[in-house]
Amino acid sequence: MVTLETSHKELNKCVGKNLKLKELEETLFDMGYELDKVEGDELKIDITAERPDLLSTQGIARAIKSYLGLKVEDYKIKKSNDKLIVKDTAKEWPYAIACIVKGLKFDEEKIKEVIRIQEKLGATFLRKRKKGGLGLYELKNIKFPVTFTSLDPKKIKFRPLEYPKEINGLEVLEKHPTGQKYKHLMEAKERGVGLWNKFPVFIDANNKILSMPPIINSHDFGKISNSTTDVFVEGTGTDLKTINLALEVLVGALIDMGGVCYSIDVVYDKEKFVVPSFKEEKRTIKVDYVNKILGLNLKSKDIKKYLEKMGYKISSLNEKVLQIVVPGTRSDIWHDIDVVDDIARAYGFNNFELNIKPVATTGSTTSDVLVKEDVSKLMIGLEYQEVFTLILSSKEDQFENMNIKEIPHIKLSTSVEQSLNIARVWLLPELMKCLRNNRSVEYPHKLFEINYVIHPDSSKDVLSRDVFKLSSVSCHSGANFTEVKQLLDYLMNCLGLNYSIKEAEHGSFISGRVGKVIVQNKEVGVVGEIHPKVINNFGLELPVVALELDLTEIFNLN
Amino acid sequence: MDLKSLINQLNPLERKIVPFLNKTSKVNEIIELSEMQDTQVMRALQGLEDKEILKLQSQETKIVKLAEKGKNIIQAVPTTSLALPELKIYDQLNERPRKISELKKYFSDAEIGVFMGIFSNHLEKKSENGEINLILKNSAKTSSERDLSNSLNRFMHTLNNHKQNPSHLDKIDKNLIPSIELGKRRGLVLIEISKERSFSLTELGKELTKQKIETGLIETLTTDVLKNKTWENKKFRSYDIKGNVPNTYGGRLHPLQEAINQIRRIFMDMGFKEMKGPLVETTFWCFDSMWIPQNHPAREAQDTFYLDYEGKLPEQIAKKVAISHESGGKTGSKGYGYKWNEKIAKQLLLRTHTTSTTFRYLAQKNIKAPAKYFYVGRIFRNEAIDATHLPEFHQSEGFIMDEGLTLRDLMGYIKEFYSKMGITKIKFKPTYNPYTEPSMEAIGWNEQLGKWVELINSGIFRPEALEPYGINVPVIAWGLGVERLAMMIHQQKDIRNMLSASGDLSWFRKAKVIKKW
Repeated sequence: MVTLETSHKELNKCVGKNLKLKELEETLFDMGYELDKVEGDELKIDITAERPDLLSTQGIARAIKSYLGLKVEDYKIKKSNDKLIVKDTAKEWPYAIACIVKGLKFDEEKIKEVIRIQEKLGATFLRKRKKGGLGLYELKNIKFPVTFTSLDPKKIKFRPLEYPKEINGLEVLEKHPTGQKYKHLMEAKERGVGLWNKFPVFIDANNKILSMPPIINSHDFGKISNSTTDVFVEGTGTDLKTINLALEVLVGALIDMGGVCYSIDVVYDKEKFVVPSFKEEKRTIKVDYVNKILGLNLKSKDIKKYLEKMGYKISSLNEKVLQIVVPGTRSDIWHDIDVVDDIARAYGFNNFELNIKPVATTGSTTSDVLVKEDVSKLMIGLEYQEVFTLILSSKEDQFENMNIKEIPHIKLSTSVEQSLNIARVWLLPELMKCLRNNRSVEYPHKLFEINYVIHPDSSKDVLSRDVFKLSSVSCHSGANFTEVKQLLDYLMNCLGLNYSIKEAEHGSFISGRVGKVIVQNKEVGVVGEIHPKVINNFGLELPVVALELDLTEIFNLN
Repeated sequence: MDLKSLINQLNPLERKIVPFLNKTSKVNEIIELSEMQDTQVMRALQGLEDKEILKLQSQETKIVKLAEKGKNIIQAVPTTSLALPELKIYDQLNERPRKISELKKYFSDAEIGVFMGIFSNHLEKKSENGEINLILKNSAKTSSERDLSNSLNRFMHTLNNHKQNPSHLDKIDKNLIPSIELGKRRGLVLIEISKERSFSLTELGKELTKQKIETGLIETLTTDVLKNKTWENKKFRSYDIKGNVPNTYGGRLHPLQEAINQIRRIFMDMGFKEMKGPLVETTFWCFDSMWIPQNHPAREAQDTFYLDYEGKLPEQIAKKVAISHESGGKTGSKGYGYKWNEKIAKQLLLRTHTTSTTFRYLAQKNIKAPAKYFYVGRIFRNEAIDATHLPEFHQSEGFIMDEGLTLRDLMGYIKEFYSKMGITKIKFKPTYNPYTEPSMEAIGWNEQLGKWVELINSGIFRPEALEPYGINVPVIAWGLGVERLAMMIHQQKDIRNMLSASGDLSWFRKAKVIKKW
């Protein structure tokens, strides 16, 4: 989800209708977007990730206009004879496209909007400038052809935006605030150390440096003011489709602001193309297909009406089929189903008559769930309270604080929550944490949990297996081995399991008061009195007896 | 309450005390008269106060008592005799002067020291043959020091003889104060603060004391009472049934488990079979398998727990999925037009949704229409823990595969699902998921909270997502976050109480059962 910040006043101006908040909110809702926050004139609208074309006031206004049945002007593109030559680019930043827009009347609001669009696209669609960047320049002093290439950063000398003097490429990264902020983009990831060998630059025919993408424009060319009328717009980055889309959002907005767009020939080594293209796509939509998916009985003229609401053009239609034109701003139409979705939005999702096709199947659950139900009931019968803890834990809690050596486990490579670094291999430490966090609550504390832990397992495609375990603790002044053995006896008896107990050593338990639980010759668990060292580590002051059983092993759950 | 019922409810201790209530208003006197223990009397009086028979009061008074040292001195001599050492030595010297060595035969150094300290102004010391001779001056007889000591001596005897009635400081003759001060300084007497407990009868209480109080009611139904049939001739003492009793609690399921069970039950009622899948997943099953492109923002490292391990891919299936990404396969889709990278797909992660399990089933369990499957499972998101965020929580999702399913059926099933949770007013909002098209959010009106709640995300699986598995029958699906729903039902504001070791045990014990009827 991306948030578009816009002005209610400006939006209404672009739509050409005085939409009150309620109508705007309802319209956006039906279209599939959400008016999230309103602060005076400022609106925050949630736009879904597949519609970068809606990330400008002008872009969303076009879509609203269409939806409300108002006329929307096509983008008109004139042709200039100017060229952008792309050669010898840095391998890390190989693509560039550009065009020209003339006749603009910039004011504070429009400049704000242009900056907002660049920043929004940069931060979201262009992944914080990692995938690409957009630039805007005063056209008048630029001599064509412009070249996009790359140079040794020390050889790039220009005065960056809002900086007092000329510095070289490396100095930009060191000294300019924008350079410092985005320095990391130029880090040589493959080598692991140092920066890119060559930095991208735009140079005009007079050999003047226009900018050093994606960092910063030159002060001499890159400053847009209220007196600017003609601009040079470029996009650069790692993926041609992506930067093309981003450029077209910005250029579309400039056209809707009253500018006239002049396309440029962008010349690569082996190909050349015209930018922008706002390339439309022809499709054929079958009426039957639409009705099959939506469960409706629409006629082709109905479908035409709905598609036009969504900005499509219909070239021709008959009873069975429509020939449609997908607008050039849409980058999210991969399959006919995407067109059907648009038809549904125009029809109105809340206008559908609900239906339930009977589907005759029976319900069931898994063995894990059934085992948990039965064992839980037995634990509750002995007055144990169920707890629900995180699967993620720490080495400290799982091993150190439990006074045992590390057991093989799944490590987390990064975790925002600092206190977590592994996936748990047993449940007991998590129950000890529950005891620690509830010391002021009335005792006794008899807690249990039945849930998964994760064990490494190289035989599986995910190198791990989920093991279902039962664990319980009883903490009160009289807690002793007899109590927990009674619990074990009771459980095993009610579950119909023959078991035996074997003396064992276990760091978490008091020596001589701990045993391994054996079922069908397999070790399936441990039971005993918790060691005072462990009780101390968890900040407790009362004895604890505990039990942990491997239910996957005992019941052959898979 | 009427007097008769009140009398029936009096417990045995209270019954024993009532006869004494009009004889005194002092608690200590009740203790003496009734020959009951302090704690029993206080418990009975407290009970009577609760029944509004009387009002307990206490007054703080200062009392003078003999200290242990004072007791020893006083009790070593007959009543009225001289007990203080300085007076005894005074007597000796009053007869004739004596050498210190002579005094030492009958008195300790400490006692001699006390005497010498008090009468220092009235003593002459003469050295004779290397020994000190003590001579009493005439001034000693009428000295204030002697008066004070005598007064103290008398007072200590008085205290000793009145063991049961310690002296109240404010009732003592003011002239004794200097002696008391002296006694206090010498550690012979001490002043204690004592609470004098008393009570006053209410109107109801006065009425009660006029009544005849039965004794011999049955207090407890014991085996003896049953065997001997004592109950045939006696009445039971009544209880105050409206009184508060201590809280109790039992073992219980965790509130989150109750919510999970509720959702499971709704799905099963509707004929869904539960699935099961691994917590650690391959990027393949979590993303690639359902046509999420490898450069999609949903895969961003910031939200996902990517792990430093490489898993294994289902080779045949992976080939088909690659084609679907690159060119759309045979669905007629454009595809994404990028080169699918196997290495990316192998990386392991903690699953970010249960849809990975849905696609394992669609791909590998040979499911044929008609089919309904669901899952309630744990998923992971790389976030810090606070009152509204956790790095893990539960998602539940279900899918239906059948010929002829349409968007209207998806809406109908969701409405049915919501109504089983008690929500009948719903709205649909178009949304976007990379693996479903169309996609919808289903928003329900929560009457209790008085607002719309966004709980369900849903859609029809895209043809490109299903083609690698040979599925060309519609599959509709929806899902919701369990903790969010549970917090809404319980009006619980802290997600850590829903899941984590920080959960409040006292809340688990008293959380309300989720209404299903």
